[in-house]
Amino acid sequence: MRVVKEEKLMDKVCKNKKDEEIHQDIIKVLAKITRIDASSINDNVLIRDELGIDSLMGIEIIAKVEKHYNIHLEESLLLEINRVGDFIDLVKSKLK
Amino acid sequence: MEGWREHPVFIELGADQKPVYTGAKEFQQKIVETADFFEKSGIRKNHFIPMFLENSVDFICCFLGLVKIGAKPIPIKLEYRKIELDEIFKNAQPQAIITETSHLEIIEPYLSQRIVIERKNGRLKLHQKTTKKTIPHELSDEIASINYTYRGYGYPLGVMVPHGQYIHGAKVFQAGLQAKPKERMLIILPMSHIFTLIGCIFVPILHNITSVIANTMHPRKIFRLIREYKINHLIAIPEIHLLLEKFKDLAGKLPSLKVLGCGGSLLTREDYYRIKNAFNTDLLHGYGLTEFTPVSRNKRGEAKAGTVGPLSENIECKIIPEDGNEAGEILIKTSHMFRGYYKNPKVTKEAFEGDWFKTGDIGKIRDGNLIFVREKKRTRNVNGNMVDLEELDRIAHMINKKDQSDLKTSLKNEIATYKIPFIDLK
Repeated sequence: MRVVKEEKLMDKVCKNKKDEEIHQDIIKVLAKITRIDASSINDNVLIRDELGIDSLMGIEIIAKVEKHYNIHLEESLLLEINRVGDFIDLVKSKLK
Repeated sequence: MEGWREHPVFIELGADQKPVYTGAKEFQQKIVETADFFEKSGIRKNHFIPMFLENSVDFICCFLGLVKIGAKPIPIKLEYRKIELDEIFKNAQPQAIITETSHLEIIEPYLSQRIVIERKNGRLKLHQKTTKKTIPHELSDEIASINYTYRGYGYPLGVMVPHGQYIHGAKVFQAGLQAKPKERMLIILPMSHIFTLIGCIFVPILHNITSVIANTMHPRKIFRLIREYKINHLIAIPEIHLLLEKFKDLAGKLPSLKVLGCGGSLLTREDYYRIKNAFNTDLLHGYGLTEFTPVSRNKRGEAKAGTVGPLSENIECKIIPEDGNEAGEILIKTSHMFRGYYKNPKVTKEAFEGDWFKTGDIGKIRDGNLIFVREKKRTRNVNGNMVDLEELDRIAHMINKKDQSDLKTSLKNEIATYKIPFIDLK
């Protein structure tokens, strides 16, 4: 019983670690493309208005993330998303 | 439409990516039917008609249908919001509007007392009639369309584009491209731009080249379309070619691709070689303005890196050197030039020196090729879109908000998003 509980705890730790890695990876991509310091990008930052991401930059971000995680994202998605955190959540949901 | 046989004029890819083929006869018939529909809807000669349409065969049929009945299409960028549209509607006083149904909400303040035609699920229908008597504008028959652009005055200017510019522009564009009948061109740039209208619509139609119309700029999808539809020519802006180069490992083999053409913004010598080496095709860069396109363009087999190529046929050009430098403002002269800015004689006068048009761009000529150096006017080119810094200064002063991020957020519904990063309260 105790072993099972410990395994579940380890799964959770791994999942959180993986989530954190995804989070950091995406912030790094955003920082590189926008040339804004990664330390100033957090979940609440507005993708277009504060990071200045236009449609072409948006496609570059999508293409990079797709390639890195081997997933497919629709171009139109970035139009519907406002904040960095929403984009990260979307990527995570595709990875599940 | 001579010279078209079995090969389609258009292959249009909808949201579901299923191809819809349009042959020459069908295309001609569609233009006639669209023109008839416009007349039945009350549109007349010299009515001004802003078009809020996505890339599609319908866009082209609407544009040509309006031209057929002598009405003046005004292709509008779908990104434009209130401040830009206020200026355009105030200047043009249009009698009718053609719009995607999805765009009706954005342009709602401009619909009153105008004929409104909507495009819903790929079909045109009369959305709204008007009881107001629609008096046509007075305008010369040689004008084909009004295309809005920025020149650093703080508001968009309505460029009166003559028929000759479309025909002559397509002819000199083709002289550089040297596309052959039955070849295929992929259209990804917005059709509202004069560069797309001439290079990606009139060139293929007049030279029997099939246009594959897609609404994507995603490298993976573009590579797939090039392979699947055996695309020979891809016309874009340098930024898109650079994006494709960054993802070249997704390209696979692209044996059909012969030419990458571009214009609208700067392409450095280094970037030229990056793109050319990645795809091993001709890479043709050119230069033009809404007032006349193309002023110059590179030709297949003779392209020179870092230049926008030799001048187009029937165009004269002179450089007014600045402070003893080799470079200076580019002045051009051609009989196919625009016919002035609509209802703006003052700016029209200022734009000319005698019969020479002052482009507001700095360049130089070396070994017969034009080299674009920078913009002289207070504008910035962002991914092929002209941003007028004067307009942004005006807006920043108009909206009295001290917090910059708040100001930027509040501007979302007022101005095209690509302009917002340039707003600065300092």
